[in-house]
Amino acid sequence: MNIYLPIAEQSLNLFLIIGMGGGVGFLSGMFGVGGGFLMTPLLIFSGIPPAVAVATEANQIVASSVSGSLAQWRKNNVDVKMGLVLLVGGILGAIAGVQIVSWLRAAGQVDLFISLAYVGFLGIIGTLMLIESTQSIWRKRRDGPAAPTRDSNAGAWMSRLPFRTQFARSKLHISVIPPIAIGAVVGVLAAIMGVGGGFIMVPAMIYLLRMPTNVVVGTSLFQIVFVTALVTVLHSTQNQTVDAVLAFLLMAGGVVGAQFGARVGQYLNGEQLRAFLALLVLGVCAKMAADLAIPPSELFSMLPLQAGGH
Amino acid sequence: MRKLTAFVLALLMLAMWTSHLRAERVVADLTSHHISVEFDFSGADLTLFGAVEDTALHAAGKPDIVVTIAGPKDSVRVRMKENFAGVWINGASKLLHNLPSYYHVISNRPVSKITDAETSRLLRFGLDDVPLSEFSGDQFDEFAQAFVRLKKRRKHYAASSDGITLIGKSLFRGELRLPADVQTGEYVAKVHLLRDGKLLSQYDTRFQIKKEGVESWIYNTAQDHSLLYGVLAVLVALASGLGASYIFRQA
Repeated sequence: MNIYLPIAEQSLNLFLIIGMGGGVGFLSGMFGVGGGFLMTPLLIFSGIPPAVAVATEANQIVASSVSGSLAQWRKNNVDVKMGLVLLVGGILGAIAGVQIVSWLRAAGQVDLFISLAYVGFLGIIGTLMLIESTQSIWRKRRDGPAAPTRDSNAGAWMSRLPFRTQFARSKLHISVIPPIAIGAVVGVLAAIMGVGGGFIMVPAMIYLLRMPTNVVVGTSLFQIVFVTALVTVLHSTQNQTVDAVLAFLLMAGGVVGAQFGARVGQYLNGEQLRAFLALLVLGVCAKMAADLAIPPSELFSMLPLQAGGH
Repeated sequence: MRKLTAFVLALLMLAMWTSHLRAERVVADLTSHHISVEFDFSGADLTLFGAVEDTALHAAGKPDIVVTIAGPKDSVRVRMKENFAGVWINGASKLLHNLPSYYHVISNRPVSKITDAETSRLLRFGLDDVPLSEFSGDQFDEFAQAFVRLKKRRKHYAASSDGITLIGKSLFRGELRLPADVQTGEYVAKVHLLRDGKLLSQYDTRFQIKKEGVESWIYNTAQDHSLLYGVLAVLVALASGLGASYIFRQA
């Protein structure tokens, strides 16, 4: 059964959409990741215009991150002050990112840009994850579980930055500049890639800001809910690219899939899961890179002048 | 007043009768004049049926029917990909003005056998060689060719030489297919009656494709009240995220 998507202006199989939402939701529940970096490429592979895929996925992430964020809030795992500082950066980044998408759309290069952003980020993240997970599988085999080590010199330059303030929940006294910068990067990524950005923010919070690990996930989810909500509104007003029907069907599949994924994930081996996820990420990256590099069978493409509005 | 009406009617009837004597006429209609695009829209099929009036004078041979169906006009930017440092990116582009978003030509036999190239060009029966006559001469460059090729691939442009079925000497029926991603707006079907390659009569009939129901509401809100649309999209997302986790905690 096909369903007509009013903003993407095409009809797609209903069960394919819910299935994609459910499948990616399952994986994200299992791995504890947002899933945007898998969902957006899948939508693009199914023929949804990349600009619509990105904006719609930002809308879906609001749904997939709000319940986790609330659960973390109840456990007092959110550093609200840090979250708000990250959010200031996130707002700036989201505004800039949506503007960049607008300009690139007008110039006809938005598809290329989104693909390049994905190839770059998925390539880097996938490779790092693969190295990390295989190393920890090896280490475990040799000398049992080892605690992750923190580089003690990495943050030395940060203590020299101005505008230092107290983050009581994280027991930190640091400048607001690094969290604003991290938030801004994540905001830009949310707007141009349709991702929550947890895969950048969580490592940055642990290794750069040195936040205690128990507040990292809650605080990043807190920021992601607000930033993706803002990105949804901005894309709606500026680009009219949020497809509410597509987003709702993805949410329906996604929230259910995530619940089951989280349950299954508890019984699986963490390192092997991460290695599998890394391979998945690299696979999507390779497919996107191939689409850019393989000589296309059709060199031409067309776009009605008043696309999305008449 | 009534006298005048009767007089006008009598005049009209006389005019129709004499015109019958002069030439054949074609009349046609569609099974539907309103097609609504709703949530389960996956394209539509329309049947066109018609008749050739006053065939008695031309007892010899069957007539030819060619129907062109044109959708709302659009200006389209066609882009060509170029290889830049190993990556295929959108390079040169050209803006093509005022072209029908949909154009189908259906006939009872190949148009090339029905009439000569000049008549075919004037009546816009062609898709390949001289499409739509909006392009003329050297304007029909690689961008215009690509436009027609892409449109044909999406079934927005098509020619079918067996789309019209003649029933006896005076009746005919045609099938036209509207794919799922057709543009909304007004469509015009021009029904041409030809005999021996000459146009004898033409009859126009129109139909509308409109987004309706939830689809229409969503689309219009997204366009005209985009801030409200964005806020609603966020609220729906919050509600479904929180709702699902509540349900699963109960279960």
